[in-house]
Amino acid sequence: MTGTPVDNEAAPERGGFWNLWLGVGTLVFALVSVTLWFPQDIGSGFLKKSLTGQTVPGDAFFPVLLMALMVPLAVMLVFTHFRSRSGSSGEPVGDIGLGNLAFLLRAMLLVGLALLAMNWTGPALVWCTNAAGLTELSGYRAVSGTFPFDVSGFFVGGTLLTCGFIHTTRHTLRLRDVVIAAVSTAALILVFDVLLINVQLPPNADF
Amino acid sequence: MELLLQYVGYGMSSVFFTAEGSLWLMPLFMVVIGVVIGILIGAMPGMSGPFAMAIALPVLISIFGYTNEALFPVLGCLIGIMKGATVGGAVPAILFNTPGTPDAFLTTLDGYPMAQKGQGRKAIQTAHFASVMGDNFSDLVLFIAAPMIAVAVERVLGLPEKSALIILSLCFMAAVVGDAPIKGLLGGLLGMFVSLIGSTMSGNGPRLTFGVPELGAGLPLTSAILGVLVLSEVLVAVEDMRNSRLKNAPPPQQPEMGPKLTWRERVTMMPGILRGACIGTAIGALPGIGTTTAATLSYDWAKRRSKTPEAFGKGTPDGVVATEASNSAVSGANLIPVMSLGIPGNFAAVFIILAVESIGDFAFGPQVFRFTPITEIPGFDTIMNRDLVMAFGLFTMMVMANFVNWTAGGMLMGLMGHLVRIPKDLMIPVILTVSLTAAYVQDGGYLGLLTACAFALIGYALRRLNISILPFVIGFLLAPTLEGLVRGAFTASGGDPYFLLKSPIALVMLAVSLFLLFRMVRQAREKGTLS
Repeated sequence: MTGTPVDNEAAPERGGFWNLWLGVGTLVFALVSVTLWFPQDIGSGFLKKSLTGQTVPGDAFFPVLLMALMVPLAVMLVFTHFRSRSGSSGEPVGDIGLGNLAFLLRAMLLVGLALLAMNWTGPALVWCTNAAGLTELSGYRAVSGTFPFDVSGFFVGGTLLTCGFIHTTRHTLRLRDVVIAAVSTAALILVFDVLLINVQLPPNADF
Repeated sequence: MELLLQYVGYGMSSVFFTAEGSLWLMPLFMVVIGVVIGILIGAMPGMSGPFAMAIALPVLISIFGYTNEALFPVLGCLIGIMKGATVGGAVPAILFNTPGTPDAFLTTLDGYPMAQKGQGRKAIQTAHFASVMGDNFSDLVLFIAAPMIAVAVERVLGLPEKSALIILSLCFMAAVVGDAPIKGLLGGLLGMFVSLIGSTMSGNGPRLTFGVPELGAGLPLTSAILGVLVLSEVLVAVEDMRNSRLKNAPPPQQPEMGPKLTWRERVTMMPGILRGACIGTAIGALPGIGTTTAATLSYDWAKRRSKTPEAFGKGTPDGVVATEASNSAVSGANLIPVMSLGIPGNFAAVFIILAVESIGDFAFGPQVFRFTPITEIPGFDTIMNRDLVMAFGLFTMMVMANFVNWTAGGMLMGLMGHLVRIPKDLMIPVILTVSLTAAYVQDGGYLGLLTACAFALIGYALRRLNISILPFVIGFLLAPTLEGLVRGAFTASGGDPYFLLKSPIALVMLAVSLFLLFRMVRQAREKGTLS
C-alpha cells in the first residue's frame, strides 16, 4: 500500500517462466477442482430442481463459472508466453526465487516461535509459581483471565516477534531495540487488555 | 425536495443524537481522532491511510461492537483517517523530499525545492489549502452524484445488468491497475473463488472446506484483508530492508520555514485548485485508477497551461497546488461507486465497505438511495428508509472531517516534520506485531491469525510477481454480491443458459468487458515484446 514499486533484482533473468507456470498451474487447478474437488466438497451440484420443480443453480454453479472464466485467461497467459518474441516472455512478471522462499521460511519460523512462546509462557509461569509455593493452581486455564498470567504469554511472544523482525531488518539487535519492542507490546496490552472489554489477547481465546 | 430535506435532517441528527433523542458526541469525537491519526500516519514515510485503516478497524470493532450504533463512530474514525492521511503525506514530501504517502510523491517535485528556497511554511500551507479544497470539492460531487447514479441504476438495471456491471468493473480494474492485466483479472477471479470457502447459497452445508469444521462459517473477512494488504506489504518491506543492507541515514535537518501563505496568494490559486480537483474527481470516480494517475495528469495539465512551464520542478506553488488538489479529490470521488453501486475502487474504500459489512445491517448499493415517503405511525414508529438516513449521516461526518482538516489539520501539519525521524526498520516490525494481534483479537482466536498469515503469503506472492492486489481484494469482497445476482438472474430467466445475454444493456457491458480483455492481450504482448 505504500505504492512503492517492488524491486526484485532477479526478475529480468528468471521472471520469464512465471507466465507459463501460472498459466499451466491455473489450468491444472481448474481441471482438478472441477473433476475432483468440487464433486467431493460441494453439497449440491451445478443445477438442481427446487421444490416447485424449477431449475435453480446449485452451490457448484458459481465456482464452476469462475473456473470457466479462469481457463481462457490461463490459455491467454500461456499463449502470450509462446507468441512473444525471443528474449521476452509475454506479460510483465516478477519473480520468486530461492532467496524469497528462504526469507519466507525465516519469517514463518519467527512467527511460529513467537506463537509457541505466547502459548507456553502462561502455563510455564503457573508451573513456576506453583513450584515456588506461591500459588496452588490447577493449570493455566484457571488464571487465563487474571493478571499477570493472562498477559505474560503475549508480552513474551510479542516482544520476541518484534525483536526477531527488527533483527531481520537491521541485521543486529541493540538493547534499545529490545526496550522498544517490550514497550510497544506493553502498549498493546494496555490498549487491548486494560482499555477494552470482552477482548482476549493471544493465546487466551484458545484456552 | 421536501422529502430530500427531511432525509438530510434525519441523517444529520442521527450523527449527534441517539435513537432515544439524547445528545451523542462520540461520532464527532471519533472523526477528530481519525483526522489526527490520519495526519500523523500520513506524515510517517512508509505508512499510508489504508494501512492505518486496516489496523484501526479491528480495534474500533473491539471498542464499539457490531450493533448499528457502532457504525457512525467506526466509520467516522475511518473517514477521518482517510482524509487526514491525504493531507499529512505532503509534510515529509515538502520538508525532506520523502513522501509520507504514495499520493504525495509528485508533491516532492515542487514542494521540496520550495522548502530548500526557505519557503517551507508557504509550501506546507499551499499543500494544506489545495488538498482540503480538492477534498471538499470531490465530497460535494459525491453528495450529488452518488444518489443520482444510484437512482438511475435502480430504475434501469435489473439482475443481469447488475451482474454484467460487476464483471465490467472487475475487467476495467484489471485493465487499468498494474502492468499485468491478464494476471490481474486472474487474481480477481481467484479472490472471488477464495471468498466462497465455507459459504453456501442453497442450504446444502458449507462448501470447499476440505472437511475442516473451523472453515464452516467462512473465512474471517477482516483478517483475510489485513493479511493480503498489510502483512504482505510488511513482509515485502522487511525483505527489501534486509536485502538493501543500508546503514540508517542520519536524521534529516528541517529547513528554514520562511513566510506564511497570504490570503491574496490563496485567491490566485483557486483556478489551479479547481482544475486539479476536477481531474482528481473524474479519475477518482472510476474504480481502480489511483491518486498517482490523477496527480500526474493534473501536474502535466497545469504545466502545459502555465505561462511559465519552466518553473515547474524548480519550486513553484502551482506544482504543489496541481498535485495536492487532484490527489485529495480522489478520496471523496472514490466513494461514488462505493455508495451508489457497492463497488469499491481503491484500498481506502475497501475498508469502508469492510466496516459496513462487519457492523450492523446497513449495506452500500443503489437500494440505499430509495426515497421512501416518511410516514409517522402514532404510538408505533416512523416508517422511512433507514439506509438513506445512514447515508446522509455518513455525508455529515465527511463534512465534519473536512472541517477538522481545515482547522486542526493546518495547525498539526506544521508540527509533523519530526515524524520523518522514526526509523522505518523499527516501525515495520512493530506494525507486524500490531497487525497479527489485531487479526487474533478481531476474529477471536488463532483462526483469524492463521487466516491473516495465509493471506499474507498470497499477497506476498502477488506483489513479488508484480500482480496487482486490488482486483484480488475487490473480487474477494464482491463475490457474494455477484453470486447472488448471477443466481437470481439465472433463476428469474427460468434456467436460460443465455440469461446474461438477453438484456441489451448487459450485452453492451459484456461486450465492453470482452473489448477490455482483447486490449489486455494486446497490451500484454506489446509489453512482453518491449520488456
